[in-house]
Order: sequence, then structure tokens, then C-alpha cells
Amino acid sequence: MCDPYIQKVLNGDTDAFRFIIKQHQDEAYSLAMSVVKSEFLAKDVVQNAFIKAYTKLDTFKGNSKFSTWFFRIVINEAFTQKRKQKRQTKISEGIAETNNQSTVNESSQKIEEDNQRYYINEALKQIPAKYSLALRLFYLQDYNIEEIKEIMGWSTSNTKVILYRARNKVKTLLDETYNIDKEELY
Amino acid sequence: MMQSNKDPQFKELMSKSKLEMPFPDFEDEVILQIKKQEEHKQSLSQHLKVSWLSFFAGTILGVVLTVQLFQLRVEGLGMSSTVIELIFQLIFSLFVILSFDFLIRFSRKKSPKELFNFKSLRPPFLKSKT
Repeated sequence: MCDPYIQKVLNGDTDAFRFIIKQHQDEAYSLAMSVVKSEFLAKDVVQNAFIKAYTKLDTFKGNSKFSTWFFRIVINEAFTQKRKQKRQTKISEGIAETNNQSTVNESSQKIEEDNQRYYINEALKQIPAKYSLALRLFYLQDYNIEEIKEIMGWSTSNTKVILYRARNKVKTLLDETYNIDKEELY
Repeated sequence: MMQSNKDPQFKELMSKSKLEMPFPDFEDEVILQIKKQEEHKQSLSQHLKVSWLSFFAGTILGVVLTVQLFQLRVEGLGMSSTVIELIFQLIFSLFVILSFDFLIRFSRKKSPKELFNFKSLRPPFLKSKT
């Protein structure tokens, strides 16, 4: 679907890249959030990923879907940012405590706005990055096991195990931590 | 046990986790960054052309000076003209080699960070220790 626009970008039309951004920004943001768990960091991740995709677009051979290629960039960038964030957190733990307080306040506002959305997103924030990524790729972006394998670099069995554990982890979290009856959410 | 089919109930639950980019000016910001990068790349290629021209002009001038020095037989600082010529030739050769290496790396579009990474010039036995 992006092919004509990719060609236009390769021919030097920078503005054609807008279409690609519009097309993939939300999905890329969801994936970045799965890893970095922070809105502002996720924005930086997606921004860097788009810039990298633009500069390396000539290396995209079209063997896989553009989205598969691009999401791999997003995920790599997200893990790079996460590593940087970990190093910075060690330095400024005091500042982080203040920020956590404001996140709690924002979250309680969200509960009023949309309980279901809030709970599922909170559960996805609590679980490890790879679980959250696998679930979003499989259920939200409708990728199959083979495609997830390609994006994440996992084996087939590993992908299935991760998906199984991730699903269970989310269900347990919703049940135990948030005391949510599953029926309430469906 | 490990279903690879999509459990419809769980799929519905996951559909509620869909996130949207909360920054409305995101698209403009990315395009602006890309345009800035393009401008930077263009100015770099201009600098590169000037650098190659200066390199060739400098090399020709250096060769001319070396020949002139050889003909004039300059002496001073208690050194014979042969020693002065040798020192000049050594400095000139080193300068040409280093400039050429720098320009080649620059032409291969390496990032400024890589360009000024002098660790890459270290001999292999020192690299292995780090």
C-alpha cells in the first residue's frame, strides 16, 4: 500500500513521507509504548525510527512488508532508548519519584474516562516488554506467528511460548492485581 | 495448550489497548527534522567538494615547494640542506596521507562521530586490549 509513496520518497519527494508517517504512527507508537512504557519516550522512539527509516529507505528491498521492516526499526530503537533510560534512572532516582506521583494522578483521571482501556493498558505496562510486544503484534496488528518471528528474531516455538505466557500474565494481572472480573472487560 | 489461533475474547480485550499518537504535531516535527537533515547533508557534500579541491591544490603546491627547496639548497639551524629537505618531505608526506585518509572516510558518508573517532586509527594490538 505504501509502495508508490516509497518510490516517491526515493525520488526525492520528502513530503510523500507524510503519508507513510500517517499510516504507521499509531501502530509504531503502540509498539514503542510496549517497550519504554512512557509517552514522551515512546514519541522520541517513533520519531527516531521514522528518521532512520527515511535515511535507510534505499536499503528496503521489498522482500517483506514495509511495516514489518519499519516495526523492526521501531523495536530496535525502543530497546536502545530503554537501555539509555535505565542508565539515566540510576543517576536521577530522586527525580523519578516525583514523576511517578504525577503519573498516578494522570492514571486516576483515565480511570474515570475509560476503565477498560485504562486497565488493559496498565496491565500491558506491568508485563515485560517482550510479552507486551508479542500481544500487540499478534492481537492488535494481526500479525501471524511467522511475521512476529521475522520482526522479533525469535523462533516459532519461542514466539508461541511468549504469547502463551503473555496472555496468562495479563489475565492474572487483571484478575489478581486489579480484581477485575474478566466478564467486565469483554 | 499454546494456541496460535486468536482467542476472540482475548482479541476483543486487546483491541481496547489500541493507542493513538497523542502529539498532534508529530508528523510536522518528523518532516521538519528530515528536511533539516537533508539540508545538512547537502551542505556537507558542498564542503566535501571544497575539501577535495583544497587537497589537490595543497598537494601540487607541496610538490612544487619540495622541488624548489631541493634547487635552492637552503641551510639553517645547524642542519645541512639534505636534512632540511628530508624533514620537509617527511612532514609533507605525513600530511598528505592523513588528509587523504580523512577525505576518503568523509566521502564514504560516515557520521561526524565516526569521522573524528581516532580510536579507529589505533594499531590492532591496542584495540584488542580495550
